[in-house]
Amino acid sequence: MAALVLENLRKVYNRSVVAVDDLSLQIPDGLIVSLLGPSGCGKTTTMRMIAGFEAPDKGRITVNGHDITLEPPNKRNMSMVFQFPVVYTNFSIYDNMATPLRNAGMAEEKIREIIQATSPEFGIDERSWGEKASNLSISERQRLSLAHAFAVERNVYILDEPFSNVDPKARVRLARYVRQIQQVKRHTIVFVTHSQSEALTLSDRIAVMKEGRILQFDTPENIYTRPVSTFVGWFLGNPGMNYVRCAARSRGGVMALDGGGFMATQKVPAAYQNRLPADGNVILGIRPEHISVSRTGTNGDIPARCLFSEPVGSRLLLNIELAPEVLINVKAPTDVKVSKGDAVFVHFPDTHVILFDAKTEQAI
Amino acid sequence: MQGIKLEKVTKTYGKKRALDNVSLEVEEGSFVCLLGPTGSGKTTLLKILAGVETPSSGAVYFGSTNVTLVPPNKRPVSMVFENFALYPNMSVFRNIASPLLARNLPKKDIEQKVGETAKFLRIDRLLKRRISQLSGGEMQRVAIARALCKDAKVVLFDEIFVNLDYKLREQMRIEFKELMERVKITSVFSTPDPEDAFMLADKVAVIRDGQIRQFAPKEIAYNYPVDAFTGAYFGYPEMNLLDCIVAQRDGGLTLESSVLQMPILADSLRTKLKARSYSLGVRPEHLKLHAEGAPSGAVDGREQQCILEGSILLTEVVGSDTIVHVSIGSDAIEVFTPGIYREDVGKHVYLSFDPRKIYLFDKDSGQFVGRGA
Repeated sequence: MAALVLENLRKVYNRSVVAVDDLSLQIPDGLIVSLLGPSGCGKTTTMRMIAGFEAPDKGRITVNGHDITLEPPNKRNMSMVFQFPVVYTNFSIYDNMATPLRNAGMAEEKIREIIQATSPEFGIDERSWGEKASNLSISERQRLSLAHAFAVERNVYILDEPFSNVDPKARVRLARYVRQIQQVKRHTIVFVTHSQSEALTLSDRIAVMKEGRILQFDTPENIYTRPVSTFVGWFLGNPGMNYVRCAARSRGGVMALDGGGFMATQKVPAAYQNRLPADGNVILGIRPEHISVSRTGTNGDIPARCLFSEPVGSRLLLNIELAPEVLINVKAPTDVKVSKGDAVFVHFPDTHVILFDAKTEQAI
Repeated sequence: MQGIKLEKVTKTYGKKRALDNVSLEVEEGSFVCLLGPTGSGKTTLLKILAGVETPSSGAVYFGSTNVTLVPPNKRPVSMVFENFALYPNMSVFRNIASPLLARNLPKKDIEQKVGETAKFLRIDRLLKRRISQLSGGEMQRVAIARALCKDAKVVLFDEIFVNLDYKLREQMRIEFKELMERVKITSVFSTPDPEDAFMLADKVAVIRDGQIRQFAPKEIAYNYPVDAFTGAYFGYPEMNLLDCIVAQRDGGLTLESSVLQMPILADSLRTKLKARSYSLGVRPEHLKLHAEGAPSGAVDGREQQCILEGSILLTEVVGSDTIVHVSIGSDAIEVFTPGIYREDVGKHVYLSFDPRKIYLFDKDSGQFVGRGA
């Protein structure tokens, strides 16, 4: 268990490709923290620097205040699970789990005790201990890799896209083992993923990355509801946040947002009004599930047209045209009886509206 | 031309039956989703429609014409693949025009046709760009434009979203939907993903082991699946299935298992049941999670509720919603909860559902028996 601190890390490949750019992050002791971002965002390079496979060009990495920046991987007291399960195929399940413990010079009796405790945490039946790892499916191998990694007490556990190659049912099971073991033992876990769903499922904190930098580091709930930029709002959620370009004008407590062809009137906190860009150009952001749509509407609602309406599971997914070429996605309860081609009224609840500066795309 | 039709089509490869006596009629202008797991025969079916495979027996009709032995290039059909099969170094114009160029049509006619199609699909401003400069959504439009330019009357889509990054898939599915609403061309779209079918289809054909299990408007397939496989597969998330038996109690017939005892409310169902095993189907969206103790009284205005008791295995966020996996006895049940929801593993919870919303299947044959109301 340990607090992991990354300070001003920078990594450049081939003298020109900036993979990680002045990245700082404090990972508190006992939490699962995700590095989340699209491919090429720098999450893998960051992870490799934490593990010691890559030395930063600049910056410092500390564990519990101890500088490990230049320590080799095997001296860092970290365990790692990769995208492709790494198991000793000639060994039995038991010997796979025992190997890192034997390497640490542990007595065989103690090893057996640890494996006895770890196996049920990963749903591994004692009767299967003798089976050869070469007979296992990919999902079972990944489960073994996880059990193998968590069998040893480490400062930090690094999970690099561990669920990318397992089937959906096994993914749920493996994610549960990780959640459960962390709930009980409060390990410090760094979880690298491109999947927003996996990050939201497993993490205590998420670091959303793009172009070698951390855009936002916060709890899953805050990242989802208060994204700091249009990218973060788009990247999380299915579908992601809707964006509409508007010219904002303050009018005594309310803000008139002119979208060119439609007008939204929102009550927004006074603080917003002072921080508006000088030219008034903003992007109104709102999540599909927070928009209300009706056939009748009330005063102030935006008249619009429904382009399509399809029930997906328990909800309707609507595509709404606010003005020519201005389309938004809406997730509505199925009792909202709106069909394709209907004239509708759209309402953006004030508390769910987020305004972004149109130039910087940062939240105001 | 009036739609397309497969009549008792069987296709064997050696001893393997890829398609087994498949009949299917796609009405003109309708969008059919061919939904099934890997290896169920989806691609074989599309290839037979395209003409690149010949059925071992049975017939294929385009309108009233038997085209079973007509080669692909003589059929008014176009196929769009997962990677779109575009020429990456050619311009958008050349890609869209390629079927017309191959026919040696006059240049002016080609320009006009490509221009019109591109405008309709809102890619007219991209005509001079190279394919390698386009986004995934734009490539999708170019591939569809090329299919339309060929004067295809039928477009076949073979798992076009399958290997996409999830974020791109979500975006392309919505764009694709909006596009197809305007194009309105006879389409068959194969996919293993029920979400595609919910979102895109007029009718869904659920296929398994080379057989079409059910071919129906999607509301019908959702509400009245012909069997447990279809009920489970055409669901998002999948329907929960619980083993149970019918028992006679003082109050009448009940469905029972080790974790559940529920009344059978529907007369129509009561008369059909025998003293034997059934699979009880409950959709994840019909279950309500109670994390703070057992619900008392009505839930959502419904008095009569069935209650299950268990503990949370995992709160799994998918997109903007959460699937709560709950362990009930020896079963794992999925509950759909809107929004981002997190709860500890092992938390004790209750689930409630309306007995009218259930599905019942025969345990042995899997056949649909009835709904709760």
